[in-house]
Amino acid sequence: MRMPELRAGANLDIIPVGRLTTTPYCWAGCAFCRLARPLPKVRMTDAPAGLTLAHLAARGVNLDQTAQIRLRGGLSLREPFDYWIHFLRHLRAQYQGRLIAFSPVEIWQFHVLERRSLRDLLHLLKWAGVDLLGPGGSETWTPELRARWTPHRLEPNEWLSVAEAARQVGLGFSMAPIIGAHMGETEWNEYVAVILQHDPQELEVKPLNSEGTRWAAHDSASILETVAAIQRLREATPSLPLYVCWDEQPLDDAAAIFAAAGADGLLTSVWEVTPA
Amino acid sequence: MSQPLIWMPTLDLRQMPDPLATWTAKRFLQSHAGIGHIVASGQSVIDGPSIEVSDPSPGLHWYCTQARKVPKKLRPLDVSVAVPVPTGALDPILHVLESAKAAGPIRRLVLYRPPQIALSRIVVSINTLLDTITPSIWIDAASFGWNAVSYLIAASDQIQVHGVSDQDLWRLSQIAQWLNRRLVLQDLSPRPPRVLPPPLQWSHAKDPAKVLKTLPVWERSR
Repeated sequence: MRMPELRAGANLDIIPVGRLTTTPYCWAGCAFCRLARPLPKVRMTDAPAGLTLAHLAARGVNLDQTAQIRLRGGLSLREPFDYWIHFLRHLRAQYQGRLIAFSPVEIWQFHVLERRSLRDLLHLLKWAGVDLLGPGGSETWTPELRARWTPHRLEPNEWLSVAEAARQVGLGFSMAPIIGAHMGETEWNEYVAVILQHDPQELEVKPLNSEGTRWAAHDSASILETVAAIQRLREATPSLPLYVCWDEQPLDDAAAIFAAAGADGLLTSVWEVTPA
Repeated sequence: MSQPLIWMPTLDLRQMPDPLATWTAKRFLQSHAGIGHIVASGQSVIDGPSIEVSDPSPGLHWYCTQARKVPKKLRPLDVSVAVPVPTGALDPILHVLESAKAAGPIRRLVLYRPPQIALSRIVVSINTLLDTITPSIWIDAASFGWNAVSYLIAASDQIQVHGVSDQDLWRLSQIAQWLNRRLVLQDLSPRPPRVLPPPLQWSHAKDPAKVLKTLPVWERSR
């Protein structure tokens, strides 16, 4: 492996991110996800209520501390889509930064459950002030790996339908491979091919953090694997904005190494609000 | 194949009273298959294959951490130097290196990372030291942090890691595996190294049906 040469003062942007989780429960059971533990012996409709603005107030989070706020699922059957539109509208009224909400995974669930068109749902998201769809569901494009990781999630063609609809309504979408030992040559080639074909607005690199997931027996991704992934993606897509999700402190060394490898920014969580 | 990565368990007994130190050293070596490096204070009563002492003594390897004039009758000594990374041509740490060189050949250079020094600056210093002082350098895992350690090991074959505790061995093992380098248990004695096996690999579940069965019945409909 050839390591990138560090350049003095060439650190990348460290982007503070506030994370909101709509619900800690999810029926999808993806192997790499901490939300992958469905409530035992409780129907998802009986799951506790999802995130409210009162949760944010109770935590006393400082919205201005972040450059972007991200809202993600839990796939729960509890709150309807309109609830989240109002939630986001209120949030947007208080927050001027970048708002990234939901991913094609959640949008597809609302599309199926509420029988509303993708374009309607995405138009509403845009009206509520959302800037970009999150990358959820774009972890892998290889059927074998997908069968092992996320067998219950939406199909790749469904994901791409949502992404394409998002582009048409002017929302944009992002993609994020999860880095780890599972990403062999085949998986990478497949991933890069999809990126080149569908041209997302930005890319994220997510090192696998297997702690607390069903894959806890596997090692989490190391910084060297992450560097190799950044180099590979940068080579394939020289002009696409490329961010790394990284929470491990201290950030300075990681930022310098990732900058040398070709990343544009480092997304680090400053607070996270999840309903109990 | 590139140089193996060395795991050298190290026990620092400089602050420990002798009776306890002897007992501790014995247990330490027993728990590492008799291979391990011990740093002690002056004339030591400890018996071990790989020992360094912080006060220069005849016949023993000197663990030098500060500039000190060694009497002629004790020279030449084998010296290990443990100092923070020098950050410029006028850094006083260079005097420590000069005084150590005057006492005898520098067998090992251990570098600690001073706080608030950027990694890019450290890389420049290490490269200069590799060119001028010694062909290999040991970096302290605790003060460098594992991100910097990973980067430096991957960037150069001439760098080894110092002070890797038993609890952090998995990190070194993971790095060795990623870089396709052997990991060996070794100390400074002439005994041959012991090759450590790569970490256990758990095969990923191949059968989607198996994954499906881990979900409650009402969630299997998709």
